[in-house]
Amino acid sequence: MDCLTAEPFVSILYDGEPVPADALAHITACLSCQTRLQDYAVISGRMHTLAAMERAGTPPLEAPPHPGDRRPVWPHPWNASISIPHVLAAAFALLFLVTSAGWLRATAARPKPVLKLKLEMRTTRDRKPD
Amino acid sequence: MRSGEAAAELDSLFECLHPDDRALLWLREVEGYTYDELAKILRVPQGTVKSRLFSAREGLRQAGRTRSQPKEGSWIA
Repeated sequence: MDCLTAEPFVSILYDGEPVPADALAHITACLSCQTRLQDYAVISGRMHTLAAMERAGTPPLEAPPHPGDRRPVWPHPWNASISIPHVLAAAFALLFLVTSAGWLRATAARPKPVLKLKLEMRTTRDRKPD
Repeated sequence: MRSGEAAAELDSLFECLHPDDRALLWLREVEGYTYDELAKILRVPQGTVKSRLFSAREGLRQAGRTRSQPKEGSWIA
């Protein structure tokens, strides 16, 4: 048996499954196949390290809330705080400033109210007959 | 190379694998499923499981070799 034929059996052997006797004999004697076997072991070791890192970085799962304890999603309490994106907060602040400035300018430009009296003089001829 | 760095490198090498092969290798290596269990889960013959595991391992091995460009022997530093 040559390496090309024995290659798939290296993976099977690594998994601890039975392989044909001639494949086993070749893998045991072949340096290239032994290297392949070692590489698989290292890949496996790294995968376990990766799995351990992922488990360590995963926050613990919380128990789901009891259906009776579930708070209503809406309406929120009047004093509840909500989070909004910074860009939205900045937009609101800008809108407030622009509106305030516009109102102040409009107020300053508006003429002050004055009392206007219109005097008319009418004669008796202007009167309509009853 | 520290184990964390090596694992991170492997994580990047995983990208070169087909998602199905990646999942299969993970189920075998990390979760410890047997060939028979994997065949039932994936609804494929055991021979397919074996060949796909071999393919996934070889894919990782070749990707590691290509990336590290070792002079000779194993790609594992």
